[in-house]
Amino acid sequence: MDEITMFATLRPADPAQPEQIRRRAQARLEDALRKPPGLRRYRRPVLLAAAAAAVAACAAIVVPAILPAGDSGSVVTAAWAVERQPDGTVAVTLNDVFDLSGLQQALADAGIQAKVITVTTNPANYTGPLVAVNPTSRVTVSGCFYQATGSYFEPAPVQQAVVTRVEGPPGRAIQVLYDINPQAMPAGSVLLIQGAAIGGQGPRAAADVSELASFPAPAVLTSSSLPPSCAWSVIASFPFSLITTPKSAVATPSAP
Amino acid sequence: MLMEYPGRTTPTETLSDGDLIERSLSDPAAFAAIFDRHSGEILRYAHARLGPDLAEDVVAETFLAAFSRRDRYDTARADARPWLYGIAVRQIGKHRRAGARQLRLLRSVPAEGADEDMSGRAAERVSAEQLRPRLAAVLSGLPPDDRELLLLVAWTGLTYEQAAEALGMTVSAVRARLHRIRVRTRKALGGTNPMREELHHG
Repeated sequence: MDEITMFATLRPADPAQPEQIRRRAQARLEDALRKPPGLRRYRRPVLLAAAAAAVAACAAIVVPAILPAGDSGSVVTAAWAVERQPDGTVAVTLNDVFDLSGLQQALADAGIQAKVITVTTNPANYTGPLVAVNPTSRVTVSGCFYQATGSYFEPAPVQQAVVTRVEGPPGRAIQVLYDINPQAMPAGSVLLIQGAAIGGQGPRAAADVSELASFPAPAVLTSSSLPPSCAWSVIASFPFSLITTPKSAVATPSAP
Repeated sequence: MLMEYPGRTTPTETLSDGDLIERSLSDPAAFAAIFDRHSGEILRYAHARLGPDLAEDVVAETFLAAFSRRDRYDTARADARPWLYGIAVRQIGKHRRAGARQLRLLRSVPAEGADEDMSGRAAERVSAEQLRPRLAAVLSGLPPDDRELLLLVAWTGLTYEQAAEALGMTVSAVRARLHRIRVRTRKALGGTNPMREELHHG
């Protein structure tokens, strides 16, 4: 036996319950990632949701099934929900990022000026990994790219004030939850909520969705006009990741 | 058409560590797969080096540090283990007192289950138990950098190349140091290698 290998005999026994220790370490890691300075109000910064539907699906007009909701200004559909909270914030739930039709109006009714768009990635132009290679986040509006002002760890203060919660419940890849505080929105600002779709043909399976990309948190935009103008200025955005790359992405406004 | 999407069609399990880390730059959730793949191995090494109390700390600290500097990872490297071990070694180095205590323990505590490679060879096991105090003494007497390298090679599955990468050394430096350790060990064991003789005679 080689002298070096002999030292393997000194190695102490493995931990008795490695899985438990590993899970505790993981919980601590996730906790640390969840609570960096400036991010304390974000419970779960990592979101999983995207779309694999054909672009055509986005063009279809879907009448949302309006379910009974508590307060006025609350709308619950199968695809999304806008619910006023007693503290004045608005809880937004997205169950189906393929179909955000009607969401923009419901947000307006709840006092939130918003622009709901769907970003489509064209597979014909697609050459690289699906998620952006460049770690710099961008917001895409009608083909215009905007640099994010906040980083993953340190979103801009106004972003944190407006979007007070971002959550992707574990095990539910498509569903994302936001808490929006309309009072914190600067005058004239608009909240950009981005749906996603993949161009071309393909199945729309949940497995595809979880593999595809992450869904960004809403961005806070200021503008006197809506896209397709590129004159917007992003005052704060907090996209965790985008499915867009400069070469492949185009943005098309969804049905309002 | 959709087959052209590597990000969509490639299940996480088949992506290399480099691919996953690259993906995690824009999708931090992807880094969870790196933890799932390698935290068990890092945990076992940390446990061997520092004992049960600090192993959990080291694993959490290692992967937190790895996450925060993942943008500096060369994503062409498919296997992240050398990189992770390198970070873990630095984290382990922060717990010097516990490390020294663990070294002292090695002299006396039998290494149950640690010698899986030889589990069927009773004679070798006896030999190993007899050698233990002397090997532990050699280990304690090594310069810290040499000890780090020796344990990384002897206690993990890393190759010389990977150990070199983990410790930021050249492979030739690794070979040179390990040679020095071999000579020193042989000397400490009385100029012979009793385990080598066991193998030859058994």
